Amino acid sequence: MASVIANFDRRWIFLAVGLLVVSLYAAGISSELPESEYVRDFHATLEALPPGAIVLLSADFDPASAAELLPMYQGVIHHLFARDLRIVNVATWPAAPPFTQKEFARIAPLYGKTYGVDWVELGFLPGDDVAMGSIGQSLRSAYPRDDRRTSWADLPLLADVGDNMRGISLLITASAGYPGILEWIAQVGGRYDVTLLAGTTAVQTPDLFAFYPLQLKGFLGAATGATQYLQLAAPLAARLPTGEGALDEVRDENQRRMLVQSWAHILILALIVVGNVIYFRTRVPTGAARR
Amino acid sequence: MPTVALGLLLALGLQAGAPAASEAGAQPGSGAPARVLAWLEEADASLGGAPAGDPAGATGWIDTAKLPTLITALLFGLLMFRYQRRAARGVEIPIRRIPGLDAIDEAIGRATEMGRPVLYVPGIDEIKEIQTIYSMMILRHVARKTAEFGTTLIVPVRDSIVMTFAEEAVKGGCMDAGRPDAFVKDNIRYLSNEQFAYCAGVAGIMAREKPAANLMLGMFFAESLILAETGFMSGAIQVAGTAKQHQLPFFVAACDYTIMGEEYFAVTAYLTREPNLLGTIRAGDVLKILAVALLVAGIVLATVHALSADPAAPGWADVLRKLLAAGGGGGSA
Amino acid sequence: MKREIPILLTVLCGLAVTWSFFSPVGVSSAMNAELLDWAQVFFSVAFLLGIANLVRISLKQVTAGHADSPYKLVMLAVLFGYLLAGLAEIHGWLPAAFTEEHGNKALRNWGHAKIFVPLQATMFSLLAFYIASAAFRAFRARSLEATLLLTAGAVVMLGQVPIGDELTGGWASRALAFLMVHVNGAGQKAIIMGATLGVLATGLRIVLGIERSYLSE
Repeated sequence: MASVIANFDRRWIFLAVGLLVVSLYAAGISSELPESEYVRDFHATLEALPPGAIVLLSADFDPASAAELLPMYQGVIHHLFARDLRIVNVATWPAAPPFTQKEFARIAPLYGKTYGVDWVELGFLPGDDVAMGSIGQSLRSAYPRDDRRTSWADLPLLADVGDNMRGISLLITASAGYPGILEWIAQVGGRYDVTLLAGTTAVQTPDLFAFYPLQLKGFLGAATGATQYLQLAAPLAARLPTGEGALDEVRDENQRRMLVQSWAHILILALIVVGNVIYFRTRVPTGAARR
Repeated sequence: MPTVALGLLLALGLQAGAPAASEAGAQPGSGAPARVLAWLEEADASLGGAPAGDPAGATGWIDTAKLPTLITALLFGLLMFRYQRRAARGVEIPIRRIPGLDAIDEAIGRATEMGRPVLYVPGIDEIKEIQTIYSMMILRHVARKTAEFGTTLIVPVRDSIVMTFAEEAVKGGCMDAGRPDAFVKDNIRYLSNEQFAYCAGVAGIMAREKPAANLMLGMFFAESLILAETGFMSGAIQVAGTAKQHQLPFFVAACDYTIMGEEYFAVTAYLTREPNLLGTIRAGDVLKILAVALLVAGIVLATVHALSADPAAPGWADVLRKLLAAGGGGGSA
Repeated sequence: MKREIPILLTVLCGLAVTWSFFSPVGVSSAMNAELLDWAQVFFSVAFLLGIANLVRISLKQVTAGHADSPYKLVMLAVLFGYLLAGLAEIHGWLPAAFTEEHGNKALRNWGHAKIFVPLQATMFSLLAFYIASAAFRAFRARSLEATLLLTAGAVVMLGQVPIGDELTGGWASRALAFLMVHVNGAGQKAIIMGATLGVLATGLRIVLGIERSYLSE
């Protein structure tokens, strides 16, 4: 049996994972999740902002992590617009702007928001953490024009934004890696008077516990955190007609994915158990056990 | 284990200290700790420190909220120079033998016996990343070994500038071994700047050229498990090393040996015996011992104060917190 | 001077940025802002340098008849095609009717949505299969530490998903929260401390001109 593991064709495992995911997703069953404390804090921090406050929203992800981060990004845009908060959107990853432009184009009209007054898209800024330092020190120097080549003076929202993050009440980042939330904390969170929130991928989530709740007031960890947050923000959807772009559809889709993820985790646990059973049954006793 | 113990002490210390510190409505107190705190506040204000709620509002020549950071950096610098000079004078700074280091040599030996190449993946980040710089130093050592044994060394890189450094490192290693003819420029391969395209390229090399040893040392991101698992499936012995803690679990699961976190920096010091690196390792160790001492002191002070007659009044734990807390984000939970 | 000038520039710029972090006075802040602007210019130039290097190396391999030549040609075609599409859209070289119907980012968005996103998402999705395979093969309770690690992993996997609470009567998410906040949080703080010292050391050596590996020394 020792050779079972060594000779086992991994493609059977790949097939099992594939079939499980496809069949459960096709079944379309969903389930609710209990909300974690840090997700509730994330939601509460947004709820506590007064209408008209400006939020800097940073897209720090690419297509690889869009499955985890885009739903939370969509939820945040809905939440901010529903509460009449103003958004300045930036990106430190070059592949992020096409996602964010599409989402703003879809969601902003649902709330009757006007570009330049309620939200501004500044686009990608090269430089990783240097870019973040520039944004923190002077948004105007970092972005003399927005993503549509409109000058600063022609964007009324930006008249309320000054240097050293003055005028910005909150920084939210959807962060997939480097540069991301850790760099925002170092370059901006520790230097200026601005509250930080983050949504991250699963692999980066354990890092955030070191900064919560001091440097980071709340965060959404992976698809689980995104789903929990979307559940909390779902009442906002009551204000919107159901249809393309509505928040409840995003929430339902994520809850469906969480069920698939649940069973995938069970499968992996089962594989670990089976692997250990085989290991212990075939292990050659050593030392005292032999005697 | 030591770093986890350090962290656990920190968490306990902070939790023990929290009830006694900075609560709204806490009485100012009149004891020695309160007087020291008041003196520190006055000194802060007179030096032009940032007012509460405005971390960017400091007006003095130095931001007093960042003094602890400056002092720590200066102290570390002094320690580093001290130990570098000692190392340069020949004073022995011992570094324990790291198992992963033996594994690198073993992997190269295995590849030589099997007549198959060694694959060295220097991570996917740019040369500005410190781990990539260290990876180039290790690459030189590996190149020397492979040149001595006459084994093929393949180095796929993600960045064109890193490729230049890799060529220099491999050439230098071959020269160190007295085998400049062993340098094959075509084996330093620039694949792609795109993360997963590079990953697919390396996986392709593993599948086609079937290296007997995969050495993955540097900064890795999401592609680490794909590389490690593909390497395992190709039957290679695998040694990985990174200080990127997110990827360590994947390497530990899929590789034969993993050089973890600070061991990675220590490997470079061990291999090169450069006084700079040895001094850095020793200085880091000393600073960590100092940090543990401060943690223990904080825990003891906070615990004693919490059990005292007037835990609401400021205590020596609050003085320590005031002295050590850097600005912007610190403060009460 | 070929060596000395880069070292001098590194030392001066490094000290200037470090000083601006610790000192809020106007001149240091202004200097920092200027250096940040210059750094962004260099980052942008680095993109061009990367493209130039990529083209140079790929053309060299194509002309040498390397085995991967067809793929290099495809890569160059896509690189310049996408660049041309972006320039055409930015400078309005496309027919007005096309732009009116599809918008002024249609070509770039098409390339992003139909080619780049599926390719990258597919590669990333391999992780799900590979982790299952690695779990079966390598996650063994060989020792006490390994058993603790496995137990913690099982708690995290169950706590993260709704079925975990259903199977454990609500304990999975509570155990997860305890593990992540208290045990993981403490460990992460210690790891960050250690990693930061390494970065601080190398940064200090580079800023003070001691570390010169970036000059290929």
